[in-house]
Amino acid sequence: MAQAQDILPNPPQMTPPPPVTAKQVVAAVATAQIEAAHPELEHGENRKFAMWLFLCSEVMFFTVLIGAYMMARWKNPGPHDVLNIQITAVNTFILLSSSYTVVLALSAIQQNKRTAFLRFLVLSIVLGTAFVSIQGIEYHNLSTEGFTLSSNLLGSAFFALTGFHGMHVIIGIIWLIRTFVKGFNGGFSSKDNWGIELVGLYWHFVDIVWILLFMIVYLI
Amino acid sequence: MATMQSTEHGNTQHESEVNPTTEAHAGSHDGTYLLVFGALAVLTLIEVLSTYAASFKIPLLIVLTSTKAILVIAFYMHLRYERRYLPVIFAAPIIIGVLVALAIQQLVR
Repeated sequence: MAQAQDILPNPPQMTPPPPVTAKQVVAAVATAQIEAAHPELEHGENRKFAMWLFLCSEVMFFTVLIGAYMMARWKNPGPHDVLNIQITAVNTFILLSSSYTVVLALSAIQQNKRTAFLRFLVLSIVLGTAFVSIQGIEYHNLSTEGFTLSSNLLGSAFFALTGFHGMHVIIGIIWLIRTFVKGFNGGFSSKDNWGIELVGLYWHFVDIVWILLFMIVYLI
Repeated sequence: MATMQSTEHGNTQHESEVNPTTEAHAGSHDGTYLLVFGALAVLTLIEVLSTYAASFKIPLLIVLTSTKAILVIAFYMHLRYERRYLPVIFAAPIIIGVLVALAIQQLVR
């Protein structure tokens, strides 16, 4: 009988909860007041850390696609006779400019310059859309020259790689539009700007991927 | 002495009114952002021009592209100003990625 009682967990009424001290109540109220007065503290660093972890997984995603392209490319002469390096160089410059305007938008809202912040966001959206449009025109030109997703292994690797990058740019544009709408409706301030920092991290990463793709696919 | 004390006092008062949180800090980076953008544009131009110099093209392109990527990560993504653990974490998949690329290069050679 005594042994059974030892094995069984104590019933709840046997262990009364420790009494709440006045000190704990004061501390809880103070924490709640700080959180209410500073919404920017709410999980901001955690969200940024999560974004970086996501970008780490994106590095591996694009590593595999670039690897597949390299496998296909080294066996074949390369698509340089159909690729237009001049137009793509201009397109690269457009995407680099959009990264610059995104970082200026973050800087503007950190200085509480709301009009400049919204203008830089619009400029970023326009530049991103221009990049995707020029990429679309380039795809059309390639398909008219007979270089398509199903033409050969190199075509599959090329369109999978640049297509997934283009998809990332489109997702980035949608995210930037959502950020603009929130900012236009009075969201964000010099202290609460985590949302812009996160979309910025994503956008710059997509820009870095294109910097690599421009070298690997077009220049080498 | 009395005037010095008063100016010191005035300065501290001014600082507490301005409340230097992100505002002065953010503005001071604008010049850096422009410099980085200029560097990225120039490096891209050199990259495109280097395609005509066939002999040492590939090592030159790798150096130029790595420089561009590091510039964006360090300054636009503010990794230069972050705490130490973030660069270490982000370096891990990049190292694996470079190893994968080297392995593929050996495989197809």
